Amino acid sequence: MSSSTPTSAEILRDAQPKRGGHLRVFLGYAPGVGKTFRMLEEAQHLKRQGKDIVIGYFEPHGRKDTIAKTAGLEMIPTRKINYRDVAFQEMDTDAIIRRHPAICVVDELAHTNVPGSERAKRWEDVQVLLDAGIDVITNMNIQHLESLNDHIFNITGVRVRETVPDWFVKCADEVVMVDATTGALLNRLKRGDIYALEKAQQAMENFFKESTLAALRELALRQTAHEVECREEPPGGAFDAFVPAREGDP
Amino acid sequence: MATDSPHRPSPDQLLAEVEREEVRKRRGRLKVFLGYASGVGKSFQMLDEGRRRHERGEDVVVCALQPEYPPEVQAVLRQLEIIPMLKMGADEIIDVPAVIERHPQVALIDGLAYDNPPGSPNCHRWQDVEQLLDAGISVVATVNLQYLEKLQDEVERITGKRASCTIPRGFLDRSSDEIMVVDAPAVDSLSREGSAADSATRLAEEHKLSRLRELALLVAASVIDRQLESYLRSHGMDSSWGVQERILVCVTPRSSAAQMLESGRRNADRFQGEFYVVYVNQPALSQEDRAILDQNLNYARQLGAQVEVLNGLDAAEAILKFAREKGITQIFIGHSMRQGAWRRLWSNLIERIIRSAEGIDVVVYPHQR
Repeated sequence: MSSSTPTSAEILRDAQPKRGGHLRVFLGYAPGVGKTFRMLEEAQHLKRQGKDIVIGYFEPHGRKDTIAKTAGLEMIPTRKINYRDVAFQEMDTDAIIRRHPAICVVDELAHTNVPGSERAKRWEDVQVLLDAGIDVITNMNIQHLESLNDHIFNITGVRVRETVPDWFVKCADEVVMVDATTGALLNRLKRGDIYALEKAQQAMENFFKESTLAALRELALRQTAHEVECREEPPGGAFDAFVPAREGDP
Repeated sequence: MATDSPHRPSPDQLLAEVEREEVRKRRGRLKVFLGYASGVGKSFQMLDEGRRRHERGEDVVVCALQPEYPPEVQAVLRQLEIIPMLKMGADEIIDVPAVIERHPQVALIDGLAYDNPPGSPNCHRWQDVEQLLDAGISVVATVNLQYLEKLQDEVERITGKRASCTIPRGFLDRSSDEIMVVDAPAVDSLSREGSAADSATRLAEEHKLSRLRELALLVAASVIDRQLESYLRSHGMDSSWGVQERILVCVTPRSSAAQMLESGRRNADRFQGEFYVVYVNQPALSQEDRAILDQNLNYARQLGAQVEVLNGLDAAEAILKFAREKGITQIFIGHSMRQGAWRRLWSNLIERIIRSAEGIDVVVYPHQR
């Protein structure tokens, strides 16, 4: 649908009242649980169904299995932004909107953009895509949920700076848990699948302790259950009053 | 939940733990992919894990398959060795002797909850799996939530149905080394075509699926909570920073506790946590105080709290003892606005609780009475 003459479907769509895109968030509990992999698998599945889907941003992290999953998917080139003489790659939100796919895949929702970008946070870019009527599939880890910041600090001893506001996640149509056992995750780490081996050793002494991972995993499962429950009941209560209304499925 | 003290395992407990550990080492390990319905992608994820293990050099063999698969699952299957199942009339069963003879490191079983047809060596497939585990073969298997015996009541409440064949409580509790949730949206907003009118049947179906999904996530969370607790115990670590929120509201006869109770309920709900309300017995209550207390405790019960009346001359000590036993994460306590000696006494009590409540958050509520 990238041709300059609009198709009849596009005209019909544009004639309808403006409707925000759907948002699906894959929620994990640590780097390496397979969020990006799962997201791309989903993208491949939707592409097979004939959906017009592109990758808006993808962080390869040098993981072979994950990179292989991008095969055949259209990727919108990133934008280079220079900051203190270093070129950073950021998602090119304008280019995605010009391309206007039905669905866009965006890796790492909690990412903070480099100074000089239009928007400070990637979730703000995602909001722009949604407002443009593009469905978005994205992912984040539980420790990036703003309201859990203190709780996560108590569990991990790490103060997470990149956070996503709760209302943004509450707005998602779907929150899906990407699970992995802590044993499997530690094995991936030991094999060097997640970080280079020396960094992995460091990680294992801090964030990737088995008990820490188990606690984060439990938290992510409970949070996802909570998100499922929230979408069951009609919204109510003081908090929901602050949630910007988005049209879409109830 | 832990009925014993979370702090100090007895020698018997330690011994039992060591023995369990030894049995675990000899036996194969079981990993279960738990889904809330068919079609969430359990088979694919489980078989794909098998494929990855195979690529890393593990000896992986597929031992039980579903009758039909979509193309992406078939593509994974083509990369794996399969031990054909045995025909038993119209049914098929795992060829246990052949698998034990072949003795792979890992056996993949797609569908744990099948009943074997009459005349099979074992009545249930989980018994076949038990044999494989006993033979030192690790098993990776899929199962649907609906087939777990211990969840039959809850599942029936949601779906109105009970499963005919189930995995017994003991099987998963005893030997399930690992459980993993295969999650997927109950309503797929991205693939849904057009704007099909929301028929009542479809909405009811989606509602059921959502509730099953929630149940699956919470079941996995509680399994992990238990594992985490036993891990912390066996490593001599304090488990008071646990993830499961356990809220304790302390009520007194003199407090208007409604706000505190409601806040406690909300906080417990937020993470499907537990909600306790205690009252420390005080001698010689006036009739008026007794009435207010009963009112508070009744309201607590209405809100679904587990209400307990504690005894002890030292209220602070009684509250803290209870909090440690239950692994409480937050204590809510009221602070009287009244003047005089009683207030000083109470302030002192709150101070002592705050000082001694290591790892527990204490929230103090002002009371306007």
